[in-house]
Amino acid sequence: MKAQHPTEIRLAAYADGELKRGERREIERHLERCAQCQAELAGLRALSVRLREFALPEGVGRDLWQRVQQRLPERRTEMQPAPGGFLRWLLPVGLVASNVVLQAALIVALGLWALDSLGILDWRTLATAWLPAGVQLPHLSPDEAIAHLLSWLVAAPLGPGFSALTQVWGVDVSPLFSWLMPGALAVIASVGLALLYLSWLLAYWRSQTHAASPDALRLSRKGASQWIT
Amino acid sequence: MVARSQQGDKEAFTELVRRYQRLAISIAYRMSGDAMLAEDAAQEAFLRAWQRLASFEHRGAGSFRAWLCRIVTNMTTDLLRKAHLTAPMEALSLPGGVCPDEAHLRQEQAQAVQAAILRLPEASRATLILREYEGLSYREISEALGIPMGTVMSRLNYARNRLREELASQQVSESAS
Ligand SMILES: [Zn+2]
Repeated sequence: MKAQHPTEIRLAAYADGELKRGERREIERHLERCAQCQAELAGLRALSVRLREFALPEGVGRDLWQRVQQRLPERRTEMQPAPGGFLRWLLPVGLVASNVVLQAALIVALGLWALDSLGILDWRTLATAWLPAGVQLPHLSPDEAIAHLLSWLVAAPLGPGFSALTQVWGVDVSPLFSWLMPGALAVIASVGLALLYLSWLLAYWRSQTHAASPDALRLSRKGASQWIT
Repeated sequence: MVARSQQGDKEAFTELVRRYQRLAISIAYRMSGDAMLAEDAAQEAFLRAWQRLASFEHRGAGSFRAWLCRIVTNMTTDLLRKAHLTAPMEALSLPGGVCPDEAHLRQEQAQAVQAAILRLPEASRATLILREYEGLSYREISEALGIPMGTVMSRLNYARNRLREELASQQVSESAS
């Protein structure tokens, strides 16, 4: 009983040593009895031998590594941050600066509020000392003043500006709105800045710690290629 | 060595180039049949590899070889298209001390093989070269060319059948003349 001939592809896989042991045995058993497949296999092997005639000319590319090596520094210098590097620093520096300003304003507002509530400092005297003469301060009762100071705490530093403006222009806004609005603005601004700064810091830290940093290389290469093109 | 090169170690990368330059040249030469173009393609391929090393994911032994094969075949195909070359013939170097007739015959046979390979479509040519000349496994070829194993086998089968036909008809016409 003669088993079916293996397909051309299967026979080639056998010749290429790509079959598992069991499959290999199966083919070998078939080959023992099938002259046709033996001829096919011989044809495949003869082709492989024949293909050797297309030889690589001697000496071609023997010093290739030297030429590649010579061109590597060239790429390396391309990797040095180009003038674009200044712009890359502007963003994080700006973020840090604005964050510092926000935090400082918050701390000052908090301090003022604390001093005022302890009765150590009268905000009215302090304000007149800082403002140019002739500027009229709104007449606020101590309660109102404390309420404003409280809103400073939440709203620093946008809160006082907003509250002051509504007073200067005599705009009548609902107390809830005047309470929430500056606070929300300030919170959104500071949280947004803090997040941006943190993400930048994380990215920077990652690129520094990741083993001489493929990331950093990629980043600076990108910058460099933009500069060159 | 690969990991060190990925970290930007030029010496390690140069060692990699030294180790794989023959492979790269061999593929590029068999793809193009042009020694000059092959050297250019191999050189550019290594420089591209250097640039892209960061994005290369090491998946065990042999994966760098497959990755490099891919870059070399792509680069050679690019250069071939750019040069609009239909694979020109180049005089093959011959071992000395062979009598002229024999040398002549050998050269003709070699040129016939070269011409037949260069007439193959690029896709099956690359598959055949990686298997027959570089000894890559089907899996490595599939990885290098980004094609399924089944496609590797069918392209290989197509290439071999065509080569056998062409080389057989060549011999028939030679013996007839
Ligand atoms: Zn059979």
